[in-house]
Amino acid sequence: MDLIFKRNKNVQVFGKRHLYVVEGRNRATDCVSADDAVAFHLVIRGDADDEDHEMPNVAEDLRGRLKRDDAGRLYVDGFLSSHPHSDHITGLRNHFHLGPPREWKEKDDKILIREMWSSPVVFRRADAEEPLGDDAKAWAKEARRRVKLFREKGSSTDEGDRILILGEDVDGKTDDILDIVIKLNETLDACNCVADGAFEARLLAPLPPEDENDEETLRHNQSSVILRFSLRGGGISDRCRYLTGGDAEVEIWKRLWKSHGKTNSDWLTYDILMPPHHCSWRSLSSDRWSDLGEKVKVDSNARNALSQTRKGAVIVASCKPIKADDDNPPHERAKREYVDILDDDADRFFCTDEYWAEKELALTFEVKSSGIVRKIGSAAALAAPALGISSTASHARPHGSEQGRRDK
Amino acid sequence: MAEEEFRSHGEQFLLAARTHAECRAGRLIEADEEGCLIELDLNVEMPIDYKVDGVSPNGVRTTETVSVRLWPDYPWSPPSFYLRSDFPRDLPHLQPGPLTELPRPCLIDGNPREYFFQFGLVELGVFHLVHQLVLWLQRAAERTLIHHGRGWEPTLRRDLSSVVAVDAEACRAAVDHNGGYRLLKARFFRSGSDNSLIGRDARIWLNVSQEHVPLKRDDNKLFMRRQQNGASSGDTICCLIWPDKLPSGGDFVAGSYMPETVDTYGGLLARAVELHCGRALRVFLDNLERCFKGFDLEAPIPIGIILCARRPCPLVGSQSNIELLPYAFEIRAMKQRSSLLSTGDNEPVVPVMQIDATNTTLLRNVSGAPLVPPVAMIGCGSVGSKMAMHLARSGATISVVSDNGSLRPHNMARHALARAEYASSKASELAKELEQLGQSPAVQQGDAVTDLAARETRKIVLPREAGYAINTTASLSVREALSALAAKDIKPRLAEAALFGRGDGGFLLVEGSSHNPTLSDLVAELYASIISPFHSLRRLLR
Repeated sequence: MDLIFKRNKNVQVFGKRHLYVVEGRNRATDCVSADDAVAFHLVIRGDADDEDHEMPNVAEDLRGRLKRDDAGRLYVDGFLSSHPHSDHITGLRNHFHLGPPREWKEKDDKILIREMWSSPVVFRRADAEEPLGDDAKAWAKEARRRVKLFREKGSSTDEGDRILILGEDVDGKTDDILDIVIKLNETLDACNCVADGAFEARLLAPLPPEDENDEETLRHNQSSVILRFSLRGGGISDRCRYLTGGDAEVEIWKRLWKSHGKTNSDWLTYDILMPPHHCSWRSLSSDRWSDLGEKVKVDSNARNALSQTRKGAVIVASCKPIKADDDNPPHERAKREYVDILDDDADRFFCTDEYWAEKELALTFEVKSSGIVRKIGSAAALAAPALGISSTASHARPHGSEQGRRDK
Repeated sequence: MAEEEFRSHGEQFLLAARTHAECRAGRLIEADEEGCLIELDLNVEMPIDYKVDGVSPNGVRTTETVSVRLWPDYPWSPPSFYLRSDFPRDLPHLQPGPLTELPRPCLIDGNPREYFFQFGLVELGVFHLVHQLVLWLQRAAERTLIHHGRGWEPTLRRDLSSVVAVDAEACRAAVDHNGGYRLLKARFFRSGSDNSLIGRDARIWLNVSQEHVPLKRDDNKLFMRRQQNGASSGDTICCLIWPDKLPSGGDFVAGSYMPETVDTYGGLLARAVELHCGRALRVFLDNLERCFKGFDLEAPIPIGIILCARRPCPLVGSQSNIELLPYAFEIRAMKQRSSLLSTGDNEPVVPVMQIDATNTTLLRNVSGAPLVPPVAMIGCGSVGSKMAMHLARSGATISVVSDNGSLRPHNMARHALARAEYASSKASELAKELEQLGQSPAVQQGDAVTDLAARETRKIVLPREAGYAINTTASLSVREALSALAAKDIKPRLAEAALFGRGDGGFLLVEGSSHNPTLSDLVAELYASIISPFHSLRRLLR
């Protein structure tokens, strides 16, 4: 499986070989994958579709990685929307087929979503001050269509009609469809009805309100889906743990540590963390930087929740270059805290935009039997920016790979 | 080339190498008339839990400093890359070499110079070689230089200067579960003077047969030596050694990769011990010492040693899990000696490259021809000689060649062989040629018609083990003699091939099972079918 991080598009989609994760606004694309992994999540901004825009074309990149089904349709096995903010779902209608699979049109050549992963609570907590955008509304409509279909047909729904509900809805609204509901703190290990051991994911959020007054606290970013993936690599289970939390802020991480810190801290362990909310300070502290500056204090519970590293863990911030300025997120103080979590090893902290600017490559981690390895790119891809030559005459011929040696 | 020119080459190399994203630093160490020495600091990507330690469990560092040598003919020759002296050696795809030399990675599956040149620009060639090196180091750290899914990759030996030609499959077939050794008769060629040393200025070529030879004190022909034109050749032996079984009775399996660093007898013995072949090697050398006791032979005689390593999975391209690790050293039976190895454990030993002796299996594999049962050739003229040679080149065994004619100068116009005027019979000359392809056919030089009539000679012309017997004599009487035989007297299936019309036409007829229809029946049918005046073959048969 590969974990791939590029910039400026927002996608999260699941496929057989890649977990492709793109989040944030004007940010690098983030993508995660493992052998036979089963997930993708994607948001493609409008400007990412602009050919003249300086950012890489994530949609094209994604399409290049996908396979076509027997009907000739590009498809993803799954599509997770962490929350419906425009920077996390823009581009949905342009690039993905919505509606019954039979209505897919060859001339549009949109990508079929075999299974949606969606949280009704997330949508319910959108309010009048920040209404849903058109792509978010389209997502919600498609989710309702699929839920309705499940109510009619049960588990006999086809690819393109399937949906998984992440977390129970309020007032027992999902009690009649529990077969497709993943409850809080439960795990799922199948996507598009395929459970082949490629992954396991534990649903850690959105959290339920603690009392009547809590709904307000849990709106917007706080309602983001948080999943901790455990990915198989090279045939070995749990070779990589990947923690992704959308835009969840400090209150959520604080509660997670209070809930699980003593008994289930392992649920929060990771090899790769995507810092929530694009490396925002607000995920680590309730103190306002604008008021206190360097006097701000990190919330110890939130920090604990975000610092359960396994040996050699890396943190990949999906954001623009991190500077000590007022244009937040990303926040430079947050980066310092994450580097501190990594035992002050700045080489283990990556910013997707900075990586792209330096290497003109998507940041990709490959999960293999030997472990999680950053991919260095092909010779041709590296030579192009380095030597100004757009193509080369040869493929790399490494030893030890299937393709490495010619048959004698 | 002037020192300044080398310096310029070195600086250009560094410019290109530094453009690689994983090249952290580089520097020119020296430039003189011998070439140019450069160092590169390369980032080695490895699993993140190794990387945090700065080193992989097998000792590859996250930053490796690599030495690069540009030779005097650079850029017409590719640069050579060397790793640090304490780089882990128990890795595949390291070039063979003694521990006293810096380890060299094998970066290219093919010719390094052709790879270096294929990119058009020198800078691109440098960039791609650096990239290959980066990938190599990464795979070394992950221990994935071998992809076991394709089989065990044999230890690198292809660039070695000394060679042993031996039937590898026959050697593997000798390996049993008990351990032991076998002495095989061999011929050697040795370049250089008697004072030259193997591994330095003397090279060895050993042709190893599958003929077993015992070590006997009274066998004066076992070790023979002739000297000519500053080189020597002669007869010697090659010792094939396979591993002893474990105390538990099970097979010993050598599952870890061992670098080819053997350069002395002591090193060879240590390697043999690692492979559970040490006991047999010691016994062999003791027997060799006893065999020579009392005899002197001042000149060096090469001895071949082939250690058989039992691997955990079949070798790439083979059904066998036995890897052959061949070596050579020299004995000197000096008058005042304490040992045949004049410097004892320090006696030079060279790893040698094994190539397959010419044999039917090799030729069939290379030609991609289907498996054909042995063939008996009746007639060794223009058609028979060519059929026999083509069959042999595609891996078919020629069990017997029969012809009572002599090879004359006029035959050279059409015959497969080229011979001087005083050549002997067609059958014996063809047999000699087939020997070059690893065959040893029987030779029958009698008259085929009378030979077929007599039981004893018929068994030679039509041997039981042959699957086919092909009549290429273009002789009516031979065809009749074959057709007249009773089915019970013929083991191979009979066939006949002929050319006619000065080569414009030809036929290949194969009898049915149980000699029915016979060749005569088939020829009659052939003529009957083309008797029509409009048949194009009719013209050729006139």
